[in-house]
Amino acid sequence: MIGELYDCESTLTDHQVIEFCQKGFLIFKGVVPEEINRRTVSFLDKHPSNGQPVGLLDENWFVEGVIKHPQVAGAVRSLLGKKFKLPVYIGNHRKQCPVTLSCRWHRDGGAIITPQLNFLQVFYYPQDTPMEMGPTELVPSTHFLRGSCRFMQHYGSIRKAVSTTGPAGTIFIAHYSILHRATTATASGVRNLVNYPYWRTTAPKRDWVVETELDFGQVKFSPDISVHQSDWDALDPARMFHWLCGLGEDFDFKGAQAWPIHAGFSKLPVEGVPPGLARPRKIPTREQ
Amino acid sequence: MVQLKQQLEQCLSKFRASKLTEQDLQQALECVNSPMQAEMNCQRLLYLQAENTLVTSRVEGMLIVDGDGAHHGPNNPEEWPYQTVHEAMRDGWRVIKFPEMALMMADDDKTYGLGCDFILEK
Repeated sequence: MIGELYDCESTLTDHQVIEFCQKGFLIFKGVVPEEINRRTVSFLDKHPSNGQPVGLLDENWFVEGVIKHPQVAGAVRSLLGKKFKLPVYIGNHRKQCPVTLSCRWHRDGGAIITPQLNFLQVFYYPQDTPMEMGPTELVPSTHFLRGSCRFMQHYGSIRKAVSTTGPAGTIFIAHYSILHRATTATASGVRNLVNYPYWRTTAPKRDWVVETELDFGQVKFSPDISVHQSDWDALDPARMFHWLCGLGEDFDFKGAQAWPIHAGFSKLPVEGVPPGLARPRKIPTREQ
Repeated sequence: MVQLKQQLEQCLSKFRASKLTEQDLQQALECVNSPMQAEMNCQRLLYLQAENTLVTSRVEGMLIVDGDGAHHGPNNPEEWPYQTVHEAMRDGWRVIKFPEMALMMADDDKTYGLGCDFILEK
């Protein structure tokens, strides 16, 4: 299985793809069946000191139940295109709780800021992971945050941080560049956080669940939670969506209230929707 | 500081009563070097990331550093000790670093770091 190319049905709609572009992650709570969670925990308990439980990738029940989980793999398929590459690596952030963590806010090494999306990091909690079990925290929209992490080590509590708490079987898909940290666990027990990557192998194309009647002039690209300057924060998600649609890394932003700045804020037409995303103009018939 | 003051006041009283001893002065000296006194002398830093450069704008992130190390705020931001830089100033914190104004040269659609960094001290 390791590194094989895989294809499946896309599950994300246009709006959900845009949501990923805005936030930099998607969370699927409790989607993995209890039996798979139990077997995963059991496997990890038998290999407790192994931070890279690669043997999991040889277990058919794990590959089918987690790596190729229809809802999650369908989301990966939506974002990375057909014939995406299955994980070549698997890790486990295993903690014996309670534990106070000194892990600071960071993005992982090699993270780049780009409209392209060629790689996804996926995380799986095989056991219940409430706040007391030290879930990972993410800061929405920081996959477009510039600056060296060495100059962010004085960050502590962040108002807009989101916790990835969830019941056993929760999976979250994250952009590699998202700002994240581990948190302190106050409860007792073992917490596993299994992680594995997927790669794109084909050119981007809008072949997810297309909302055929969607008017992109009326779709909001500005994130609900953002660390960027308001209004301007619509540009990077729009660029990423534009690239994912196979339309290139950038579009001709006309400034002022042009798309995507004011898209989705009113029912009025918006100037500057990129040609590849513009709705075909309806030609009035004689009856009209 | 309070403990040292009390010790010195006791020394003064004993001096006036001609009962001051070398041991009394030694105890006062030990107060000067006590861990509590060291803690009192340690500079404290407060890092606040504000929405913009105005000190009355909302704080988006916080960290306090004292003699024990770095401390995060409560999980609930509404319970943070200060919701604005101005609130911290009113509580005696003094701004020693203003947000980096060179970041004005960056384009509006590019964000460098979380908000505007103020560093305060007590």
